[in-house]
Amino acid sequence: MKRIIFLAAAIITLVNFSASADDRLNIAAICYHSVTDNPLTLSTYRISDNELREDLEYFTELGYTFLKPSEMWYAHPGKNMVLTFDDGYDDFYDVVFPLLQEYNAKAVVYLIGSEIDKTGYLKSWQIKELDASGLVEIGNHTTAVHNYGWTYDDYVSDDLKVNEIIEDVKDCSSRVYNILGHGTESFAYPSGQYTYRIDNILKENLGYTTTFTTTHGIVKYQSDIASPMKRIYRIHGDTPQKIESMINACK
Amino acid sequence: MKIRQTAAALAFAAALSAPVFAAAQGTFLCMRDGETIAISNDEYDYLKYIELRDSKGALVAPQISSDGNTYLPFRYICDITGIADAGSVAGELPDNSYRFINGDPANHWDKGAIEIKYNGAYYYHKVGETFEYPAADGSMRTVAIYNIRGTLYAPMGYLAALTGSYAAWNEEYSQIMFVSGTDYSIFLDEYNSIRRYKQMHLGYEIFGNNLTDSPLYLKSDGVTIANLSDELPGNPEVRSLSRSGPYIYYIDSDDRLNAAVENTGVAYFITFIDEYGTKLDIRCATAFVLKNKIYGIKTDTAGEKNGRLFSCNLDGTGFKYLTDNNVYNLIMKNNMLDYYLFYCDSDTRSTIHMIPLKTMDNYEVQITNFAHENMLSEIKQFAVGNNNVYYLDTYGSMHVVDLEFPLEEIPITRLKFGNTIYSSDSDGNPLNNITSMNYDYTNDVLYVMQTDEYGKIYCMTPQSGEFRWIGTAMNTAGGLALFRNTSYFNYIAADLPEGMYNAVTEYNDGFVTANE
Repeated sequence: MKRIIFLAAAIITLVNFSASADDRLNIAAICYHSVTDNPLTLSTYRISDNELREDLEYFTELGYTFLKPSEMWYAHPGKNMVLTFDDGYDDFYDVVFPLLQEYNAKAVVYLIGSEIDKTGYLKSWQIKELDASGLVEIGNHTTAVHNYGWTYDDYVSDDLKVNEIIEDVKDCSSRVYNILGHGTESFAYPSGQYTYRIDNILKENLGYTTTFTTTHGIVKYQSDIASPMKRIYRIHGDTPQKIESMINACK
Repeated sequence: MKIRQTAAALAFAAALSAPVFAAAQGTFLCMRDGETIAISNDEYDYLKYIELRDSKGALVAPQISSDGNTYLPFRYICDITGIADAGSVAGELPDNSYRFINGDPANHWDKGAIEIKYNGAYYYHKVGETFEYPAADGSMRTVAIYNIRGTLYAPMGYLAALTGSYAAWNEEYSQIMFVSGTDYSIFLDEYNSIRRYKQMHLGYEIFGNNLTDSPLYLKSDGVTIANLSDELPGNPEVRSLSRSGPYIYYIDSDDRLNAAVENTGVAYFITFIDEYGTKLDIRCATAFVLKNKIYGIKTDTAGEKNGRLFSCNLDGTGFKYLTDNNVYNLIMKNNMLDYYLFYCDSDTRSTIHMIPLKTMDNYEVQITNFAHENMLSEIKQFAVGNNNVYYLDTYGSMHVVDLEFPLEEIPITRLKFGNTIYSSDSDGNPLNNITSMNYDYTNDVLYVMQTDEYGKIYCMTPQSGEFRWIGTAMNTAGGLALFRNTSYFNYIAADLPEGMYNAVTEYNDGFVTANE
């Protein structure tokens, strides 16, 4: 009897172990900023339209599914990817959006509230069209704090700054609400700087479902989605193959 | 095709060894990366601002590539260097001309090419295909002709060497200089900066006294303060002066905008005409010239200070409103070569707006504490310093808001300690009933005038943090006029009813001295 119980326990343990291995979502969130069709203005964080096309081509062929952050909680284990675009440059509409449509890929763009409708950034009518497309989630990148350059130490040492970033997230979301009729539920920390205290407030008090930092890594388990999620930077000169190898190294 | 490229390279090398020069004195261009407005020269050697447009009429801007090469709009540079567009010419390319050749998608070549024939030498480049040329510093540069959203761009150094033009980079001001022709020395001083004054005038370098009712202005010699009223027939009342080349723009007693030609006694009415060609009957509360535009506040009745912000060309054409609501206290600030308009919203009298001239976006400035309470209220006059906002409220008190960053870089600021209201000067005397203020952007000095009896003038720097009395203007009735000259001395003058001035001061190395 003891042997049977031991065997049963061993089988259950084995099943659980294999189940936990299969439960790995392994979602790779890729961090983009600007994508340009002007060959003169390429820089580390401003990749070319061809580079983005190569990424989409390569990972589509590999069978990746491109998710919006709001879909991450329902993701199935497998090849998942979240394309994140920080700052809300207007080239997201001019260059990125047509490519997303061509490859039927979903993405999220994180807007800086103070820059909406300003030169070089997305305009309200473009944000409406992006949101209505179903391909793009509109995310929050703060209104003013993005420009302050605050660091982890600032947030730990100064409660006023914790208060301010919370108010600033609300401000950005209200600006999006005025355009779309709904606010934001995904947030990207400016310069990736966060504390768990701020993250808890965003999720428990403001209802954010996903937050991203810029720490290098991938989202392995569903439980990781509850924390500030790691991303992989996509910089000018990288190749899709290099990104794939970085993803594999993080698994 | 390779043979043709080699031939082009040989021809180019030959051209370098025996440089060719554009005929006569050329066009001077001083430009910034990404800006569609350049400084050029007119036939009298006055500097002027021009819009960069290619031969198709599209606005274009110079660009600096990530690898440090400067690219200029190809068609525009060809126009000013005398290289004609021979697009409609069949057969052999005429001398001193260029032609764009359409691509051939069937052969995986869809971007086209350009061919140039200049002083007998032939050049050919596929668009987007890199080639090398020897730069002026001896290094080999890898560049290409690019088609960027319909505009062809070519490397500046290559174009300069090809046409015998002068090309340089002004490190101090991040400016690109390109002079077609050889006689570029007349445009530059001994430091290779743009020569100013006397022969060449840059209007914006001479501060108009837009905050005041003074008729004073700085002469084109850059040193002499003049009174425009004295120069015009009948000594009319004039105010809100600014300069563009030899033209002094001013508002007359009926609040109409005029332009006087310096040293001639001649003045013209500016007739405003909107984009539909309709003449407009416009009065101005204030107006000034900046780059190649007039900016001002339009009012309906004489004496009114509130109205909609407008802009138009220097001749009054192209009039358009920049705001839907009424504004007041329009000022200009520059940060190096970037220019910003600031104004106050008439409805709230507690909201400042900022418009960068580069983009013409309209930012609502937010200066609050961490409880998001506005730190500005009842603004009568304001000025924007390097890291400060100064404002005079309607009760005559001076407020100083200490910002961590320049306002034009971050227009939303949350303050931990709020603003400071100054109630006494450095000697402990009451500082109230302030009626006028002005700001020296060069030296970061604030001047205010208190008129209990006569005009007592105080100055304050962010470093000192206190208002220091520097002089009293006898019988002063007007506001503060502020100038600076080529030597970076500062002149401040209080206006008198008779059109005279006194309380002139000099600012030098942190010291303000009064020369009454």
